[in-house]
Amino acid sequence: MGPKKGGQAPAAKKGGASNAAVNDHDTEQEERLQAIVLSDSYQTRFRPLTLEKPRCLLSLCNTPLIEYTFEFLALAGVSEVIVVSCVHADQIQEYIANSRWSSPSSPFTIETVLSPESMSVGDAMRDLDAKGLITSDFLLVSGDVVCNVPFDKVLAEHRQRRAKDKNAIMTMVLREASPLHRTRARAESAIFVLDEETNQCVHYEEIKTRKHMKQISLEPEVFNKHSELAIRNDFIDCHIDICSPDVPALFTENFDYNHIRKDFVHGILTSDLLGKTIFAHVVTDHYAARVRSLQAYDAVSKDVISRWTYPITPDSNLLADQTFQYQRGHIYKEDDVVLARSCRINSSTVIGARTVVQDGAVITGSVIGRRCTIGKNAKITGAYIWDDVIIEDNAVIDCAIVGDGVIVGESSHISPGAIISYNVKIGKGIVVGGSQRLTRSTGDEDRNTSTDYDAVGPDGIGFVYEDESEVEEDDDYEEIVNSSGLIYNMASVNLSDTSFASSVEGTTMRKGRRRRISTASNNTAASEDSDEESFLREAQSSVERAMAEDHDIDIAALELGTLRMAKNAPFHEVRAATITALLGRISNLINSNTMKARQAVESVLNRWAKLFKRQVFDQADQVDLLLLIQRDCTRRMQGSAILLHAINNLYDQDILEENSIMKWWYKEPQSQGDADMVKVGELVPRWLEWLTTAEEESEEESDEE
Amino acid sequence: MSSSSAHTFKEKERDLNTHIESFIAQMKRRQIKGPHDVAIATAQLLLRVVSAARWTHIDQLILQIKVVGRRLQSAQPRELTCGNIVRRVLALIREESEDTSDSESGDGANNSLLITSMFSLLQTDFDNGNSSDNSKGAKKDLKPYIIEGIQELIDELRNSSESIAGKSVEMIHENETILTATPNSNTVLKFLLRAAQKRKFTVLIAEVFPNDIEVAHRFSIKLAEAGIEATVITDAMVYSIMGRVGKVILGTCAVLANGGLLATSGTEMICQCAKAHRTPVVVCTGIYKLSPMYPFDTESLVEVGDTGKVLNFEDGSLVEKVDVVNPLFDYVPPELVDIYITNLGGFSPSFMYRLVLDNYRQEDVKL
Repeated sequence: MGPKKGGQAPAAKKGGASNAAVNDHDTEQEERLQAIVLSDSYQTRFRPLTLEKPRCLLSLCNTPLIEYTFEFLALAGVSEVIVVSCVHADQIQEYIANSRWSSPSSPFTIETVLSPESMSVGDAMRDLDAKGLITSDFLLVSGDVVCNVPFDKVLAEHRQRRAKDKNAIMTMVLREASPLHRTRARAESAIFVLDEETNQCVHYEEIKTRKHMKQISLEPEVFNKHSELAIRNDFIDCHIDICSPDVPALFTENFDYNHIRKDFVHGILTSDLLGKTIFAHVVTDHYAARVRSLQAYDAVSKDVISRWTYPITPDSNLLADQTFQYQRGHIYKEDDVVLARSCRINSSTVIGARTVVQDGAVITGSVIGRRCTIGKNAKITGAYIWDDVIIEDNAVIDCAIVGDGVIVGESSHISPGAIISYNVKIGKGIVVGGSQRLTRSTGDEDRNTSTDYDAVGPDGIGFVYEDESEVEEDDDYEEIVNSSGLIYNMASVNLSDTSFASSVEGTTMRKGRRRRISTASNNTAASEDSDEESFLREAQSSVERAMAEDHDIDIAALELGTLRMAKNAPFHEVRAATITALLGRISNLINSNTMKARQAVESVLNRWAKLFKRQVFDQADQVDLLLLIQRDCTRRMQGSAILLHAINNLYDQDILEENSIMKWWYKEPQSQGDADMVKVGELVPRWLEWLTTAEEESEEESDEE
Repeated sequence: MSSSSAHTFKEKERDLNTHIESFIAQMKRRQIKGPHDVAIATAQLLLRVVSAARWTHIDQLILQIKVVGRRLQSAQPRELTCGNIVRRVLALIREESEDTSDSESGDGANNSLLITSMFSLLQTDFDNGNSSDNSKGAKKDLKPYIIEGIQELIDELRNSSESIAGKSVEMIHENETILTATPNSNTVLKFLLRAAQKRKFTVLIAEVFPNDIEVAHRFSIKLAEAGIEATVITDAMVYSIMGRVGKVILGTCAVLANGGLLATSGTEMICQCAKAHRTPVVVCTGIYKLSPMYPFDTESLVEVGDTGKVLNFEDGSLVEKVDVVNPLFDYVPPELVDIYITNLGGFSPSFMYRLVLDNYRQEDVKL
């Protein structure tokens, strides 16, 4: 940064056009940059929190979300902002009118447009088109974007393309990230097919977590037109788009377009008639994310705290009355925070002004709002506590969102994932479950709003929120259930890529499949699913055949391997098939020959367990194998005995290691998941006891030597 | 001037407030950053404040400037130059007012007024009768002087790196090897370029991962274009190469009253290496970077920057598990610095407190 720019800056501060003027300098464009902020998310994921307040005014690290968006627009050099609001429009209007953005020092002019009927992005765009507010290329963002990408380069590129080709109507800004990145919205991931050279987006496909997508289809001519294509599923797509005025017009023409990606981008790219093109700008440094689910709220909060969004951090004090100061370990404290001598504030914590933390309280990785009181020995971990909350002594809050004015009673416990909306009062010693969402407002008046004393205790106020609107959208239902929670089965996601794909998906899928078989089994259209189905069946019968005809073990393994390749099945499926076959044989032996469980297991496994050597490679796989055995045994007679002897046998054959067994039994939530699983594992603890003592003895022996 | 009505005055005030607000916002957004740019922007803003201000007694002006200064400083407390410039302007105003009051009435009455400044501010209403003509006369005279003073200050800011560069030939010998670790410093760049006109020497540039790598590369290109033999080295090489280095030349973000300084992170390590090898450390700094603050809490002076520079955000599993801190500055204690080359001349670190007393007033240290 040369001295020139600094000299210029104060002189060029007149009005809002200064930044745009600087940015436009390269491209010689005289036009002002407009930005459309969609303040509504057209979703219900944040309910019940959004029943009383729009999502963009929810506080993220003690600052309303929309401030981050405006700050980004200011950084991007936008000179005119149009905020489109529908639900809670009055609140948004009031907030903007009182904010610094409508003061003369604001870098852009701001205008609120009401669009009360719009139910989707498409409706809002059609409304804007009808009102004729858009005159030039504009930036389309939603009111929950957190981003610090410098925009001049993106904009210059877009304008260059536009100058060359009027049909390049849109540039999407995508942030690169690994597929399992915490900030990626897991519900709305998508596959982008981009031209390597020009970054033109040639295909877009939404991934439905439910359907377990295996393939996308591309038109053959795509390969003729583009020499190199990149098929990518590693973007954080935070819906920051630079659009030309054609975009709202296209929305008007195609009145069924609702979603900007699913409908619009997909529609434009698949339509041959329009001939419009869409480009992507891939950002590899800086930060871009959107708070589109509770889980993203958690991730983005953490990112802001650990300064990925610099300079948009709490200690920048975006609001005029904030006084945050940074301390070592990513701790941000405002003035007038009262901390008792014996309380402990651990790293990655934000504490707002006039909050009192009393003796012995421990706060770790949490955000605490203003004027809160944290009682003695309270324990707060990874929680988001907004303003004016009272947490009484000995309460425990773990990874939950606690809204404004909530009172959490003495010694109560709020489990991970719970959401407590505004002004709820939770009585003494209550345990709030992880999936519970407590509220005092239903959204519509005619519903029963009596306090649910089971949930909040005899002296509490509030009831459990159940959203029936989610059920109606049956298309996305399962996705929502999976993704809308604050905590997304983090334990299973963390294991590894394969186990994410297999174990989590596998269980949900199998349930779904069973249901489908029982109702309509002759549906050949569901080719993807039947593919897997057939693999399982074929693999299972292959193993069974091998056992019946007493094949060589290598030949059996080879056959399985070929089958796996042909169907492109994950190892998890292979293991599942093998286990079903082997255990089926074992239980047959037990039932027919009246062989003892132990004998049966030994006779089968001694011969065939070597199959697992080519299916089980690391600890995660071993744990998976154990889970599969356990699950399978729940269906068998004498399941617990089979399980015990199978583990013992596999342990003796060195297919299972002690560590994995320990991990499976003690760490894996699924092993204790339901009553069946627990029942079938009833004999395991004694065996584990034997295992540990045997271990010690052998150690002692070796010591003696 | 006298015809301006209350209406236009109000408008002016609002206009001024707009300027202040957008300055603060730009500071927060780091659209204005770096000591030099911040200093000039602050001075220009204060120039507007002074020209828009109306006062009956000089203390009112001082109070106004202090209030504005406090706002500016709190926008980005770690950008110390902003506060420095506010204090410089305050000192300038005080000096001007003392000069005029000295020349007009040489007796001790007015001097005592100035010492108990807050008291006299409250007092003006009471003895308006006897002192009003005096102060009014002073006001008429003072404004242009103060404005002229601020303009001189801006000129000083603009020219400081030039006058520092003027001393480069005395500092750099023929065929010497120089190490620098602050490629973001324009002062050092000019210093070296000026020396290159007369001398032939080698410059080693530490790349200062992670924040300034690109800057370091650009810096070395500029040096190479001027015919200096420039080599970029990794930060880890500094100790091993120090034996061959004749001088370490550094730029700085801020110099503190005890003679310590704040500079790009990694500088302290380099200074420690230099000390181990008894290599002299020369720091080039404009006097505007000298802050009257003492580093009682060095941690609060260090800004923590963008985590993404240290770790790739793409790496999801690491992002979740690792806490990354990217401090932008290092505090270098005075004993590691041998000499400061300023636009006023060369000074030893232990002399810095004296320069503080020369440039700032004690009563302004706390804004």
